[in-house]
Amino acid sequence: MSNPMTQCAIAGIGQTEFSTNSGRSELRVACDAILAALDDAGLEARDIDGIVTYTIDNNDEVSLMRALGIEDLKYSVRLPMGGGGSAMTLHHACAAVASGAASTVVIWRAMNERSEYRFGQPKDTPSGSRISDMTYTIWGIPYGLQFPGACSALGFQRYMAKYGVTNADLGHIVVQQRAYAATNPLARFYQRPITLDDHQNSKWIADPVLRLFDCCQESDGGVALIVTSRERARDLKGQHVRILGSAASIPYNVEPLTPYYTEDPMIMQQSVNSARRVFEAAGVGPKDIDVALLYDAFTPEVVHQLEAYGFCGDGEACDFVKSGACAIDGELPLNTNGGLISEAYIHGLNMVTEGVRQLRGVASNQREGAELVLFSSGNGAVILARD
Amino acid sequence: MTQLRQSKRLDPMSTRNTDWFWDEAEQGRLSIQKCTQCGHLHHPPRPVCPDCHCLELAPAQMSGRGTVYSRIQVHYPPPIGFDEPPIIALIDLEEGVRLISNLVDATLDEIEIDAPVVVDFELSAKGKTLPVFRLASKGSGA
Repeated sequence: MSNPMTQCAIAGIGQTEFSTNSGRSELRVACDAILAALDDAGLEARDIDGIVTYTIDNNDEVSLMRALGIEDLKYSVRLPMGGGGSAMTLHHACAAVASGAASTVVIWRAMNERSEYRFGQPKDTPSGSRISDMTYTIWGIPYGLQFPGACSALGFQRYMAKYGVTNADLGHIVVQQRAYAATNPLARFYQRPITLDDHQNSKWIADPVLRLFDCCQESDGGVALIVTSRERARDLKGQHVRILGSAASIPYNVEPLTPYYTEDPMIMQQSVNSARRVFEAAGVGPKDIDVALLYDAFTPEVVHQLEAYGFCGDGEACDFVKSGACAIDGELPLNTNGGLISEAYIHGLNMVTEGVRQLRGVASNQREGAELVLFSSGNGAVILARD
Repeated sequence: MTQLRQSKRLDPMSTRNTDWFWDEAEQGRLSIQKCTQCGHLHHPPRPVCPDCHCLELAPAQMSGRGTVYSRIQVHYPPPIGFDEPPIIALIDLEEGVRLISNLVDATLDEIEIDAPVVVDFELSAKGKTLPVFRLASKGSGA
């Protein structure tokens, strides 16, 4: 008998424009994205009986139901680990559909994180109880470790020393992703490619690891996805993609932003675990992946995930990108929408809409004949397939 | 105890599971949580020992010696509480525990990975005592 977790599909995708100021409430942004996804799938709000998101979204389920006319939720979860949870949403939506706990699950992320508050700026106090137990708010604030970019840089500096990697090496990742964004009209950096010199001339965030251009784009915007069974998706209007495999991992002592307490912080353990599980679930390996979408709040995360998924060896990720392997006609087109660094930081979920577009054959930077797409967000992963 | 250097640093957030750490620092001790049953050290601290589920955990003074696991200098956006971009480091204490702290009185280039460091203490803007570190090769400082 086939694994029911591999018999689910994304039946519709929706998103708003990505900007520095949406000009409307976060709840409205969420509704706009969900309505677009329902329209894409050919479903009505009353068809939704499950809802999944992840922490650090200000919208609540009751308000969304009230705004959209969702009649009765049989299933709702909100996953931990910040943006690391973005791929886990699909794993949990599949679990709901495969088990029968729900038939039609909407996943959303909507935020005005540029116009209403700044995710990436220093914090002098924890911004609400939801992150009050995070290491950096308790242990970092007196020492100047006050924003996510600094947290990412601190752990990664030892990797750079161990493998002789410099910030200019990371720059190749950014140049590649900006090139993709330059030809993606949805991207914040549409028509604005950069050179390695531009990258090296951007100001230091955290010397010697991160410059400004190594960081994602805080953005206003929303994304929504509709997950249902493959069987049902086939009968719907939208061109669905199969969720061939999904996985999640929250290993002991791994925490968001400051994962310094594992045995070897130079390895992203949650991605190593997710990689093993998702490849096993999907019955494929790294060589089979046509397009990789790797959560890139900051460039070091791309490095960790390229290595965790076995696309290259430990310490080799920057050279792998530098070789041209991640261009559209290369061995592994990477973050073809421009990524969170160049399209927009919608907390990872905009990588999924890109993955669906690749499999539908309508991406702005289309990989010819793409059949399998990986999306990894550290703590979770999915392999999407044309069906 | 000699007069501690005054800084503009923010106070640490107060929580029931962590206030003791800063209280220990005020007494001039760098202490880490130790399980009274199995003896394992834990950081960040927690209300239960994950190894033996003992509920009695107590501060244990560390030697104050360690090495640099990694270090960065944060320039932008400027961290709150500093006139100059601070050097933030992960310090591996010789007892086997890793801490977030600052390396003071050294430039970024002077600080090699795995360099030996020793603890010192400075005051926050409001007078809380905070453990910081300096390079062992530079002596004990002020």
